[in-house]
Amino acid sequence: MSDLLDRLRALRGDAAEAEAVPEPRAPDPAWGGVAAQLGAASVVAGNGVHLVRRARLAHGALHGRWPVGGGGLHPWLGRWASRSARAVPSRRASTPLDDDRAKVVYLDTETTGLAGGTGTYAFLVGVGTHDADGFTVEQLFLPGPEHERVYLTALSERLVGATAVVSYNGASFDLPLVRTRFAMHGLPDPLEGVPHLDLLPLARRLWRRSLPDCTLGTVEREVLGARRSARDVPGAEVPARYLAFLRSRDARPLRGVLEHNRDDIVALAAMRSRIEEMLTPEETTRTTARPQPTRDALELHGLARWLEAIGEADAALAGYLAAEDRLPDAAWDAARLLRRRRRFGEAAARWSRLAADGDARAWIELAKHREHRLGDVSGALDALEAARRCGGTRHDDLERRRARLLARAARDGG
Amino acid sequence: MDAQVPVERSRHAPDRAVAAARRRLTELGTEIVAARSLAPREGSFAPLPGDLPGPLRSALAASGIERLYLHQRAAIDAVRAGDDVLLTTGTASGKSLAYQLPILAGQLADPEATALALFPTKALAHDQADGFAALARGAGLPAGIVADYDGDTSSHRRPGIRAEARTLLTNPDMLHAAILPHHTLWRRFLSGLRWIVVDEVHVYRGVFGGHLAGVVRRLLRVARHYGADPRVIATSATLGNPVEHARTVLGRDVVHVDADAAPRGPREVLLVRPPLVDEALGLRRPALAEAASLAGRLAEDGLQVLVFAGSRQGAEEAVVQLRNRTDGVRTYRSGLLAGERRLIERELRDGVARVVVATSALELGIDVGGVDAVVIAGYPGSAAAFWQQIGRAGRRGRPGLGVLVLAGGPLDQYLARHPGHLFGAAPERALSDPDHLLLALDHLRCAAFELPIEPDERFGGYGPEEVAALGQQMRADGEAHVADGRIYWLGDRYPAEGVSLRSAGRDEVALLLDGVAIGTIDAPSARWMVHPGAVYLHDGRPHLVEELDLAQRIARLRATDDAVLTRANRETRIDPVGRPAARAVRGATVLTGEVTVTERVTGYRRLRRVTRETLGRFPLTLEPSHLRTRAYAFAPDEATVARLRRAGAWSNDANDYGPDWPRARAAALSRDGHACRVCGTKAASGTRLHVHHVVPFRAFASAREANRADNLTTLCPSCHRRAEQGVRVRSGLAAVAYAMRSLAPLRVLCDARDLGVHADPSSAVADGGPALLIYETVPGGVGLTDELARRHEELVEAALELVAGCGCDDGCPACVGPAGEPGHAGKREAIAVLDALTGSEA
Repeated sequence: MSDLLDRLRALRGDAAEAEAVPEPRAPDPAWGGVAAQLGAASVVAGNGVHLVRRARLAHGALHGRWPVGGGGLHPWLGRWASRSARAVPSRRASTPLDDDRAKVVYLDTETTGLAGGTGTYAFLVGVGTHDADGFTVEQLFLPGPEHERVYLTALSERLVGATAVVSYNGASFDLPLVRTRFAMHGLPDPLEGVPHLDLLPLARRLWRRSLPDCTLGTVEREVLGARRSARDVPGAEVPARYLAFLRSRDARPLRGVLEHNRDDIVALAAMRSRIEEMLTPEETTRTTARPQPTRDALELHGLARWLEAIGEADAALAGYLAAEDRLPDAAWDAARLLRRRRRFGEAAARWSRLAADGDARAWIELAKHREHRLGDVSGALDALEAARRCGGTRHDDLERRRARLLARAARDGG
Repeated sequence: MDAQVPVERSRHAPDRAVAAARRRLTELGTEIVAARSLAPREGSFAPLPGDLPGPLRSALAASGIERLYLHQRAAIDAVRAGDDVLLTTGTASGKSLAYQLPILAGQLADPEATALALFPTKALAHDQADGFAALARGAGLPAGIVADYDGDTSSHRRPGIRAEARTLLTNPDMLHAAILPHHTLWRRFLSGLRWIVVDEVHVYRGVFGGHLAGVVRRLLRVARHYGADPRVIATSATLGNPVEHARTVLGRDVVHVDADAAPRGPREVLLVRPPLVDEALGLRRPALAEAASLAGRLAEDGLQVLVFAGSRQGAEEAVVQLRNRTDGVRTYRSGLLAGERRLIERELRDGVARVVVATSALELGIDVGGVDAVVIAGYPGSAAAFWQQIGRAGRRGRPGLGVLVLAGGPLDQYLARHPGHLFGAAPERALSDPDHLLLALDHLRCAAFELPIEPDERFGGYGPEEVAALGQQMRADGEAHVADGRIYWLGDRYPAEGVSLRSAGRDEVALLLDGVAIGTIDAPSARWMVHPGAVYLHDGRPHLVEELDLAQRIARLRATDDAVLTRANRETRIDPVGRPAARAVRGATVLTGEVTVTERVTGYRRLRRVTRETLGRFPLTLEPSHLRTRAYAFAPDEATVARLRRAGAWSNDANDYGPDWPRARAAALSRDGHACRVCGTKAASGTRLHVHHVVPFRAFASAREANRADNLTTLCPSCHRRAEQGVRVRSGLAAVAYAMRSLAPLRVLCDARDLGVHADPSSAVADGGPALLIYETVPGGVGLTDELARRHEELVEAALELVAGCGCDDGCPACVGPAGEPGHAGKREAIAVLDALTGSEA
């Protein structure tokens, strides 16, 4: 066979024969050494081994400024999560999502690459769950792809019966990957039909305008107030470290990866409780330091938009009203909802304020309001003129309205 | 322009066509070197299979199909009997029905049976999908079971297609990079896979063929994992070795159906050669212009004509010429949007389109149908392509006319001397080597990504032991983990990403006119076709390129009415990666190894369209394109170079450089401080300084342009001599490069596109000495150049035969080509080099 490889090297123009990669040291059959390096326990099943590491936080423990929370999901979060489950009736949650007995599972993975697809492995899966006394993070570690079947079986046991799964960007990455791994082995998919709460889109709605980015690290640092140890491993290095481990069977370089993964799970739980605080009426009672007003308004506005998207129009309106003094966009949205509820006077008040600041669209709304609600055609024409002077609207649009109003005035006034 | 002559549909059109053609050719002074009459053929029919499901039979009847051609019936029977089938009947012989019918029949009986159809282009897949879906609908099958799926499919449609489609029409690239690496999402589809259709399988030869074989192997492997064992249905143009080719790229022994039973009217095929314009230079009128002239005249005579122009730019230029003569001229090419293609097809049917200009047969949709006359500008590269194009001549079994206008290149001129090659001899053999080690390894890596490789697996021609050895190599490369003899992929990215099935750079640049997309161009070509300032012909009309944004992949165009053309200057540089392997041969050293080919567009010339004189030259800054690949070079040794330098006496005193020469000369001397620009020698008594034209005077149409200050440089006599010799060396090498590249495809199993050529008087690959390089255009290379290097002696013998035997004086497109310094073809230098390399006496 060396002929074949020599020919290959020549064709590729490789330099002199590369050093052969030594076979890895055979581990003890129970992988005790590696387990000890990672602070984990090894579990031997018939045809494979996987490692489990457990961490426990007491009820009310803080991550940064926020507790890891507990219990069932707030019904609004539950509604948002259920949208993702599609109309697959097979695995409807038997327990309503907001029941304290509901099993909410937090999920985060570390993988051998970002490509996804059938050749990417999740070599580490962190699973977080609440119980009456606290919060547990269990981390399952794959000692090698040849052990994947028992590893997935163990993972399945943790996920079965979950009433909702919470992740960060899991919709586009972690969940499809985990489900692919089950499919590759022909195992049933424990996440089929389970509502999925991906906190990333929510975080973007709330904090995109206030933060440089919405990566988990940034949100954790700026919103939750938590800091990680300096030993954090850059994401780009993770796959290479796992590959190196497979060759050397030395798991010490992976310790930082496990800690990072555990912290991610805890951060997810804390983020959820931070968001749920915003949804409860008592949101004004906080133990945090005085918040900056502008950030608050942006967050309130983002939250209100989200509430509108899930059908909670009353709560959304409250949110817009709370933010409108500091944010013109919120005033605009408030006016929109008020008009929909036929509270025209209140809507007009908002438009007037916006118009006074030179918003041409607000002038147009006022024109419509004056024409249709007040029957004041000349007032409407004045508003259109003001809109024209503000600039920034389509000329032909304005002209059409003006022409129509003039025709109407002619009809009415003679 | 006169009132339009209506397009006639009479039965006598063809004899009229032939008579018209002969008359017009005489008018043009074009010589007919060969003429063949192909006899008409009655159709032979068979009934529809008796056990065809009722709904399908009604759907066929609704489309006007109540019986089949014999070959369709034979193919359908074989497929339904469970055989792998290859159908090689001609153009417009109803090949699509041969696979649509058994698939629909099977799916009506079994709702879980699925089919995957591969087409070489997206446009073909889209066209076929429409027809197939219509038939499926007519047979009562639910909507959405036939779907095309490729890069153009919007992401919100994809989940639905994965969930429901039963027939998927796609292309090998999509299968390779998008479907197979995510096969778990396709489990339903793959577990029911019963048929794989491979259309136009003759296209998959050379490197492309090797890649297709790899993709098919991976597909069959994944299908097997899900318990499926599909049959293959392939269609092909005429080949010399169809069954062998199917075995090579599809891995199956096929039942071959080739007796074409579709009716066909009589066909007349003419091979014609444009007249010589300059005997000494061996220059003929360009084939493209000739073809356009003929087509325009035939359209005036009331015929509908299809012109194959061979290249996009050629098609655009032909359209300009045709529009000066007649109405109803259209271009039809793959960059068009689907709606535009449908429009042209309709216009052809209605007679509104009188001349349609296309690039190649593959770009024609199924609904183009036939025309009265087909005019081909330049031999399309293979007999298979030639007959596919001629196959469009003649409407609905009525007679047709085909004309091949031979171009000036070596292959065309060979055909002019040996027309029997096209008519009598066996068609070419499609060749490819799917077990080439580098190709196979690439696909093995992709296979490992898709499913771990089992200890007893073989891959193509590689047995389990060899596969295991390659697995060890993947492990050494840090891409795989081996445990219990199984090979698991562990790299952090898709192996498929790094493997391009075709040429480098599949990215498309969109052409925008007033913000509206009017077409697309591939990114590498965009650099020299739509650079800022380029005049680009779209649909025959000139447009000026205002902006090229490669990052955004857009080019902004504006209509213009300049009577101006532009030609870009492309600079190529080839650098070695590592040390090349060297072998001494007679007169030179042969080098092989990996290289980086950097192509830079440095500037462009504006030319007056009619006279081709240079109006001005402009610089450009565009990011270069990089290709890492393998190359074969030969570096002539000192003795050979010395012969090169001595050959071809170069006299430059006798030239008349125009009336303003004394002033221009004086200005250059003054600018250069009366000293040689290279060595600094100053004028002194006894030493007279020369003023040298950087680009030779002869290359310009006007003395004024030639004598521009930036084209003049002051040199002392010995530096001048060296510069002139440098020109000679450059031309000589370039001339040899042209000849060898033209002949390489006859010797090596590939397409001409798979190779690029570059001559460099001071090449980094040859430690600064002169070298001629032939490199592979597929990224990474595949070993073609290593094969060429092994056959170096054969190649140079053949090149010497070609160049020395050519009747021209100093070089012509039929032997050493237009390459080399403008104004100096380098034939004598080429012969000198080749003599030295073959050991012939000078």
